[in-house]
Amino acid sequence: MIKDIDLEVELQRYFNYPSFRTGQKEIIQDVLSEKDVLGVLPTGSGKSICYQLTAKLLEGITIVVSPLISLMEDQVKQLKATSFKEVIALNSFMEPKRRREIYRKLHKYKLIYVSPELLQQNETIVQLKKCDISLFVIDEAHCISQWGHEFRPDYLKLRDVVRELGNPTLLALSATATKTVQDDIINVLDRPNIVKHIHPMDRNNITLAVKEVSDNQEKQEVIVNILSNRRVPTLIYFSSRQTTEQLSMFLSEKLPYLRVAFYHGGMEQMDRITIQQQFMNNQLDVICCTSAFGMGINKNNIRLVIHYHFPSQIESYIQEIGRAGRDGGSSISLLLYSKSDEYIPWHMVQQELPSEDQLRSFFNLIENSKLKNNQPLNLEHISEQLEFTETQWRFLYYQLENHDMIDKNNVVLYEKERWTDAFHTINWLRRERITVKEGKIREMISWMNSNGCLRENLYRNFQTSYSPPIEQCCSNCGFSFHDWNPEQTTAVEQRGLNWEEKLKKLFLIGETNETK
Amino acid sequence: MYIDSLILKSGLHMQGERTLSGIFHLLKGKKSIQTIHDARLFHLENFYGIHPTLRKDSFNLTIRVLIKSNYIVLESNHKELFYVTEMGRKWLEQQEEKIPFTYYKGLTYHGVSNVFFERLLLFIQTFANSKMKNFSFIPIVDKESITQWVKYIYKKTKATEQIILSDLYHELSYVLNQFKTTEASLFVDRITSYNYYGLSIEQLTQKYDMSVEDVRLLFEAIIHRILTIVETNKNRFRILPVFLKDISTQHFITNTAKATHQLLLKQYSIEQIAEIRGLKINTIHDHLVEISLYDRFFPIRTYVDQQTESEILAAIANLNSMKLKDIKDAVSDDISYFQIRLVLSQSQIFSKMGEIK
Ligand SMILES: Nc1ncnc2c1ncn2[C@@H]1O[C@H](COP(=O)(O)OP(=O)(O)O)[C@@H](O)[C@H]1O
Ligand SMILES: [Zn+2]
Repeated sequence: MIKDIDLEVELQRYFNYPSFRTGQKEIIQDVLSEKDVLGVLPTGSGKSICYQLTAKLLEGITIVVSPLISLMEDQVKQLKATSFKEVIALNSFMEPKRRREIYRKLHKYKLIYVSPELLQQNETIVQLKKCDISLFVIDEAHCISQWGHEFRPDYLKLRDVVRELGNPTLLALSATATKTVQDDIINVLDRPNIVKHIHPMDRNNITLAVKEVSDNQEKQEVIVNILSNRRVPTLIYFSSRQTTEQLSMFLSEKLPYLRVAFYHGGMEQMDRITIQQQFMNNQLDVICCTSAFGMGINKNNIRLVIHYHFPSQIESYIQEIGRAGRDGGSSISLLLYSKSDEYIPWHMVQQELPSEDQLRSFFNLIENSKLKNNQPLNLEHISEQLEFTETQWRFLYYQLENHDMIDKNNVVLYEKERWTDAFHTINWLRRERITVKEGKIREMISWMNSNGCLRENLYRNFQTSYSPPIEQCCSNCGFSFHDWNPEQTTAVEQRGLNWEEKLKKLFLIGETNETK
Repeated sequence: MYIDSLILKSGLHMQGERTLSGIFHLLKGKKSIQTIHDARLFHLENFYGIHPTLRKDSFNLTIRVLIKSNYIVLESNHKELFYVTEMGRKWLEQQEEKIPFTYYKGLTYHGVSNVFFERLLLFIQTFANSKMKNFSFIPIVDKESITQWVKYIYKKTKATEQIILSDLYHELSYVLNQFKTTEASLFVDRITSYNYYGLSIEQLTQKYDMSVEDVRLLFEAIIHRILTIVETNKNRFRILPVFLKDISTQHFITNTAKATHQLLLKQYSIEQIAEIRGLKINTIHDHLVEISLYDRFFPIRTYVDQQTESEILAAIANLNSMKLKDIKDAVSDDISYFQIRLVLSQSQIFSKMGEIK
């Protein structure tokens, strides 16, 4: 029955798009006929439609697991703005009261976003089990894989969750999954018969440029040079919040006619919305941001993406440059690096996983306290005392759970015979993760330094070929900024107005209804 | 820098009677009996809670600068107590013009100003977009309580949307005309409308060449003044007062005191309340003092008779001090701390004190 519907008509009806983009229709068709699907589509290709439209069409509820709370919330906001109202995002930061309210009317929703850590809670499963679930979507499915660049231990438990929920149809989506990662996803989920829809991720409208410089000052000169006679929508990525602010200030001073702002996760909610939307509205030209920017935003005419600091893996790089040129127009990605940047990602890896010392202190602390008195220790306390970062702690906590070393009340279970073994196993896993991550960094650095065609080398691990670039290929194939004459944005100036005139304008006084 | 002046101005009221952290808590709006008590006592109600994002480190930095400039001195045997110097006073006088001290109504509008402003912002954005028939915009405020409220008002008034927008425009421009030009334009710059998003705090600091702290403080002042104008001329305005409706100021009182208040209203005695709630009598006393700070109709006579009150007041006048211990020592033994605190918490008494000092 459901197969007979004209998907194009439904797409138009619910999302106001005239046609599907590559890959979307095939995935939706398969999912509607209850086949499990693994979809790998490049960033910006419109993965979300694959389950958003499906959710509208299916009888029951669609659940989407997504690792980034801000991303979920952005999507919900956008859906609500397009009149898809039966949608909600659940996460563990919500007030319990509000969450319980939502649980009571869960069946009213068509599409429910859930964070993976919330799925670890029994309460969530109990509530979801009461609903009729038609489709279970795993967004960013590469997080399930040890070899993926964003491995999330809590994703490993999704197989059990899906089973608990009565094995609904499964849709796993990712923008960056090498062959190894794809196999891993299928293995972990235990769905050998999953239908694969793998699409190439190379972007033939993005020119790749890498430039080695001697220091940060030279980076700044390069950026000022490029931007000094071009006003195009530009993103500049940094690895720290502080540098986004510094460079934003610097560029505003050097290039006063450009409208520059910064964006990072530490800003207040209202300011974050403001900056995002000003950029969408062409009120801003350049955003200096951390990787927190861009997740939920779909501005389609970004012409230039600059990396002031290089990302710690090729996968992130591909995602971040993928925000350029979504309209298909020719765009540039420029990566700037100096040799001294190399310590940054190494340092970040250290921050992500506990050190051997931390691990040892943890095991000693527990052992000593168990031997002395039998007082249960407060885990949060320990985490603070040993100065674990959030991700370090998540790693350890997951390992404790996985080795049955922790009970429901968060009390560590101590067994004398197993204690040393447990330490060595977890430490070994830790080292293995570090090795994987360091491998990723090396891969990135070696790509940046390669002499051959950057395009060919960039996509090598993901696919066997790539389509020819529509304009310039890369800086190793002869691209130079001299030849770049993009169409410029025109900036509508609000500056000249006094407050009275401006207020009038904001209130649309004298403006008639625009009914189109 | 506004914060310097605010500290000096508050300091002048307190001269040696309170510590520096007292000022910090005052400006930040700490929800403690002591802080609100002090605000009343020293006539600093208007500065209460006007700087909720103030951080201890930046506060301390300011203090160090003020000491270096010889605007304040610390008492030699009690480093937390301080005095504003003659130099400080002179400097403050020069600042007086530049700083909108008189706009603030902290204790009245703390917790109200923000809700009012966020409702107003989202309202303007919603109605402007609706006028242009654009129903898919990203709301500038995404707090559930605010969006629900605006949705509700929107549904109720959609039919007269055109008039509302233009009435609100006239009301706002009437209000803003009573401000200095920079103040009015700072406010207008923050407004989001159809296809246009207002400036962030950060962007305002660049445009007006002010620090983040000053922009926040000035903005808070402007809103307090708008609220004052609206509330004192209720008949002039049709739309603006709507934004002030049903903003709960109850959040002043801690939840646990609220529960006690409920029981009190049902005529339970202190002992009964303590028993019902399984709390100590002393704790219930704390709650009562807290409630009496906010509730002008608090039945003080139930707990303090006329004669006791007179005795306490006389002691205060005699001692010229508000220190609980001193007062307790000066009055009859059967008068309790609880009774003294209740008498102290009555604001009329503070204004009398003001004259004494
Ligand atoms: N069939 C379509 N036609 C036009 N626009 C589309 C279509 N599908 C998706 N989009 C738009 O493309 C953008 C990117 O979609 P999104 O799902 O966020 O991409 P991804 O998750 O793959 O990075 C969004 O703005 C979305 O609305
Ligand atoms: Zn090339």
